Amino acid sequence: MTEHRPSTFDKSLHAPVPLWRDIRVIQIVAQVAFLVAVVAAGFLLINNLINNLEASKISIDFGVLERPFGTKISEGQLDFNPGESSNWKALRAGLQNTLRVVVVGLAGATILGVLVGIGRLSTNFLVRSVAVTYIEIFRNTPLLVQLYFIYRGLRLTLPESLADSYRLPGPVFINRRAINFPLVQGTDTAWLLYAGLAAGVAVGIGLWIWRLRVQDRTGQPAHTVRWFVPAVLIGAAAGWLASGDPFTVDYPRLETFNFAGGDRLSAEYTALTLGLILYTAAFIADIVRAGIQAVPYGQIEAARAQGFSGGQTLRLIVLPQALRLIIPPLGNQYLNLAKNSSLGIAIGFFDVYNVANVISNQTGQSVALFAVMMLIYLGISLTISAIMNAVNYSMRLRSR
Amino acid sequence: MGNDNSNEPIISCRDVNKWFGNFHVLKDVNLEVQPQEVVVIIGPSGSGKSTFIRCINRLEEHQEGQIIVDGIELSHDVRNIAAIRSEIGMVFQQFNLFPHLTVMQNVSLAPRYVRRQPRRNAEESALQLLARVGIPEQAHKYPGQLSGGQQQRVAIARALAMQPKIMLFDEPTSALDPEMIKEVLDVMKELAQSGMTMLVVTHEMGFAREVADRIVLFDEGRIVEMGTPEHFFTNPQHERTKLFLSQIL
Amino acid sequence: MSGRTPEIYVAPTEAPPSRRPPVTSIGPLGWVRANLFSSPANSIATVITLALVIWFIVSFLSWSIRSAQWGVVYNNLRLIGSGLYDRREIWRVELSTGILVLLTGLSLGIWARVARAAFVAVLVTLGIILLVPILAARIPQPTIHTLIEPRKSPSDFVFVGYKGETVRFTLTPQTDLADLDEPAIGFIEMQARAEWSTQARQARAGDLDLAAYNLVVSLRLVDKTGRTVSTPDGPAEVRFGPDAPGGELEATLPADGWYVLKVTRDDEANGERDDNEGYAWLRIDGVELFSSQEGQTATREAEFGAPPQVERPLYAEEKAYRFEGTRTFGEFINLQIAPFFERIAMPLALGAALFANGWVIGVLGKRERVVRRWTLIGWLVATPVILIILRGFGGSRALPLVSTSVWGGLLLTMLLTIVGITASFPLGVALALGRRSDLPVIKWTCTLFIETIRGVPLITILFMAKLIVPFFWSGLSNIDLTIRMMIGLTLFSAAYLAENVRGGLQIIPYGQIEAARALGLNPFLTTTFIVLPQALRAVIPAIVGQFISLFKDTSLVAVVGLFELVGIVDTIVSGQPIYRPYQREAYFFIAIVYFVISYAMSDVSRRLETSGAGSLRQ
Repeated sequence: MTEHRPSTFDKSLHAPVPLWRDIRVIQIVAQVAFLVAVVAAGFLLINNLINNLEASKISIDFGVLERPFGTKISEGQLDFNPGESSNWKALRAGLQNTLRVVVVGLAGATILGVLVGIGRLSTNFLVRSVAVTYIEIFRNTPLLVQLYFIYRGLRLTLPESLADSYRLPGPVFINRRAINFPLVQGTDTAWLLYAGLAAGVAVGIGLWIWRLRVQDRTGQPAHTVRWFVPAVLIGAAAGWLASGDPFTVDYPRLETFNFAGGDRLSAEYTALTLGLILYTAAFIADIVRAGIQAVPYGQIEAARAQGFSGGQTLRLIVLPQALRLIIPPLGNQYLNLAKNSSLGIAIGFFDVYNVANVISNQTGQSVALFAVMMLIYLGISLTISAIMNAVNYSMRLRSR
Repeated sequence: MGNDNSNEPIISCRDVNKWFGNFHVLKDVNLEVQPQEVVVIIGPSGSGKSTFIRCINRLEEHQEGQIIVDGIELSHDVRNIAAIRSEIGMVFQQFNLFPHLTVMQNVSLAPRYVRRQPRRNAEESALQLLARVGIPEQAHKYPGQLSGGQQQRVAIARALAMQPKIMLFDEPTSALDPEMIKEVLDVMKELAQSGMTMLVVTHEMGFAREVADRIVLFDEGRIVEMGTPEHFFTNPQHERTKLFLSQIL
Repeated sequence: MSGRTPEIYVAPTEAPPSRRPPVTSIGPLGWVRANLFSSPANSIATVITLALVIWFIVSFLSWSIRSAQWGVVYNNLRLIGSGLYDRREIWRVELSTGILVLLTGLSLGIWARVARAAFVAVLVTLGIILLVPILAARIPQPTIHTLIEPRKSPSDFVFVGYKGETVRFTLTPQTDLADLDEPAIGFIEMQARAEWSTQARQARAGDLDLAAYNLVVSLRLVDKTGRTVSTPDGPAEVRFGPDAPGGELEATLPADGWYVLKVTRDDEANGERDDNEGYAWLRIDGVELFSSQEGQTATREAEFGAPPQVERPLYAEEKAYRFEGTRTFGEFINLQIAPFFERIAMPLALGAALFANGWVIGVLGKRERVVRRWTLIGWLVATPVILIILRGFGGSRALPLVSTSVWGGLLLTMLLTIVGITASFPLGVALALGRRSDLPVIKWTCTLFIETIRGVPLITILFMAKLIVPFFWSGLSNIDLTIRMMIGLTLFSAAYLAENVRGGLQIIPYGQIEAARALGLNPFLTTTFIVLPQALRAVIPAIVGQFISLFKDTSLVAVVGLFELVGIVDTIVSGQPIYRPYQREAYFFIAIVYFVISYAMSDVSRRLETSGAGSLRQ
């Protein structure tokens, strides 16, 4: 180019961009404006809050946690004295109760959900229909209605007076208030049994690894389980014999007003856990079904053409791929179960939410208690999320 | 097990009939395949050709007729089915590699768990097979990281790892981009020349003309014409054969 | 390749005909073989499952038919439907429901494909609901029991009879322990039940000597004017005494109208009652119990006039009786199903007609933009309009104020759901867009909001809404609890919705946005016309799932103190002692209601044609 003709391009390169059109300025101004708006709204609301609280003579006082808790908590193991132990201790007791429900609930829901999910894909028409019916019924009705039905409806079919309790071998007594069962406690020599069991497990793991190596070397099937289980049983048996009498059993006996001895699962705990398991398992079953169905059928055909047996196909080919699709929504359901445990308040179970609510009513410190409440639930949610994310990451498929 | 007499067919199908529900998909199919023979099966879509070869290794079940592979009759006896499957290898249109395993693991998994070979032996054989199909260097990659042609060649190696006497190919190149078809067909040609008995369902007429000992035309569930490639391409006799070839060539 | 030359084969020109498959591979036998007994394990599973299923169904049916009391449901239909809404203003609820039903019919007609099976199922259900009460009228009424007690003047039994009906009264004095058998079936007057239990216990314990009693009773059947009804054997009156212990009085009624069975201890007129004491069951057959619903009283009086005046009347009114013992299937239909269906038949038929209307218009006008646009406008406008209709204005005469604190039942549930959906949708989309924004402040605020709300239980948010919101906003400290709950539900649903929409936003290829920019569309236009339509369409199933969850989550406001469907049932079974033993029936019923609505919604979502649903295309 010999001649340099002036053009519009030249001008735009050199002229300063007016501020109101400069994209960078616009972005920053927008953010600042948004920030100002949010902060202003926040101030406004908090100002209102403080004014109103003062007007009602309530102050936000996190020291409320130090004050004594007025009511009796009828649940869980506690060294807990109403009127003496602090609210903080009460919250801890409530948290314990929540965890008891959540842990058992997660395990139960997973097992039941996987079974029903696989049954949903069965070639057997009856099994499939029962699975579908179960899933549709429990997914389409609210959890609260299910809980009420179990706790208020079904529970009425159980005997009311303790003397009329159903008696199962054990002895296990079932009545409207609780399930009373024998409590097994370790004696001084119990540690020998545990040691034997641990030794059995350790040996079993060693055998497992050894069998896998044998398969590598010689091609013979590993039969890992057949070696592991006897090792554990032998270890346990040895420990039992060495310890003599490792357990004492405390049997429940009916006395004037209540059962003495043994341990009990209160009706509230049972109803809440059972309701959560039945409800969540329906969702898990659908997730499992979708995960297994998403594995392309060609994979199964290829495996069969190679000569894999049905069980090998499932174990080596289908399940690893299905699990990838199942883990994320499964984690979601676990979170839901943990949060749904708060419905214990509806049936009188002293989970952590119920306790916080009671404290809030007694002291009027609703703001402080709710802040604590949200922190606790956020903590539980984040823990479960983190675990599921780690599992998910370790199973990802690698691609180009 | 099996019959080594070179005069006996290695696959023998007599009056095979199959229905899907009420739909009569295979009608009185009679076919004999000699050892080391390469049979190419052609025909319009829906004619039953894929269904037919899938009946041979029991991926589909025939309701009437007899299928005998290497002297073993294909029946409801699970031992027979397992024995027959161990003699037949199959390559699918959609490759069906196991995406969560490496290439090496894909090829060596069945020999280790079904034929109970020690791992080192299985992996050595796997490497040899991968070299035979031309991609030994991909052994530690995952299927998702390979091209279509490479994936299909891994699938062929995986099928060969079980040392079959017969190889079934169900439209092996239909899902590939044109530039990758040749590499797969080359592997199949080498396989044919090394003496493998092959049943190939395909639309690749060039391959059929070059490699096939016999071509079979399926239409609406029955075999319409069978013969040498020369017969087919120069002197087809049946109406449907002429119609089909006119559409495809 | 083999070196041999194969032979050539050419098929005959004529194709052989297709044959039918062998018998055991298709048809019912083949199906059973393949689906139920294909392997030993399968067969065992079939047998076990079949046993369990049969046991379950039989137990449920036997409970439901023989001993469950469904009156808790059909006697409280208004409460369940609309809570404590002012009775005189119910027409506003009906109008709102009508509008919603019409809109739903229109929408389904335009956008959903309805399977023939669903259509048939709905018609059949309607048919059953309309026909059963008519057929049930032929089933004979159960026996009514009242008790004649000592130290208490016996009541006169007042009832409405119809011409040609045969009524029969049977008296059974209790004279020894053998007579204390419980009546196995029928309605027993509630007071009588209690009294009889007491005397039975006393007699068995030896505190009561039945043999010491000596009962002489007269029964006389009169019509409203006091004239004794005449039978072929003479006037309808009979005297029971030691000489005629127990027996029957049977009469065929000559006309429609009120009748009174006069029960007297014979020497009452003389005032000497000490000798004439004793217990006796009076069994009454052939009399129809009055329904307990208020409207029926008015109808009865309108038709037959005021009941005759008697000193101690005992009306044949359902509320005063309780069913005891085991019912037969006929009685179950007559006493439980027929009254229920009777009460819902008319509203249901009207609703179905409205729905069908809307549906037909929708189907016919499917292609017209006008129809589609006005339907969407209808939905947008419907929510506020309905809220106004239902709430009304203070001081207005046509639409007086009905405070939201009395709204309840299914009405409140649907309102919470609809308001929740309409309010949370724009908020959720805004949050999702904000979370994907390039501006960090906006992004982190939205993320924080979403994750916090998703990390805590809904009930916490509802309680917070109830207790804390008033503190934040002094001007609205008296805000309705209902509004506060709507706010809580909206925030909760918006956070979950934001996550679903975010998934849709993520799958849009970046090339789309680049193309839009290249064309000159600014960010707002790009989002509105390119990004959002694709993203929303992709996640419609997830969004609908979220709405269905919202519908079920409205049940939680019951714990907070609102009386939606679950809450109102709570008050019914906890508050009214008469219904307290019937919790199973009540909760089972609302479980069915939730199930039907929820299942219908998810079924419809599966059938929605993606070209039309929720799109901005029109």
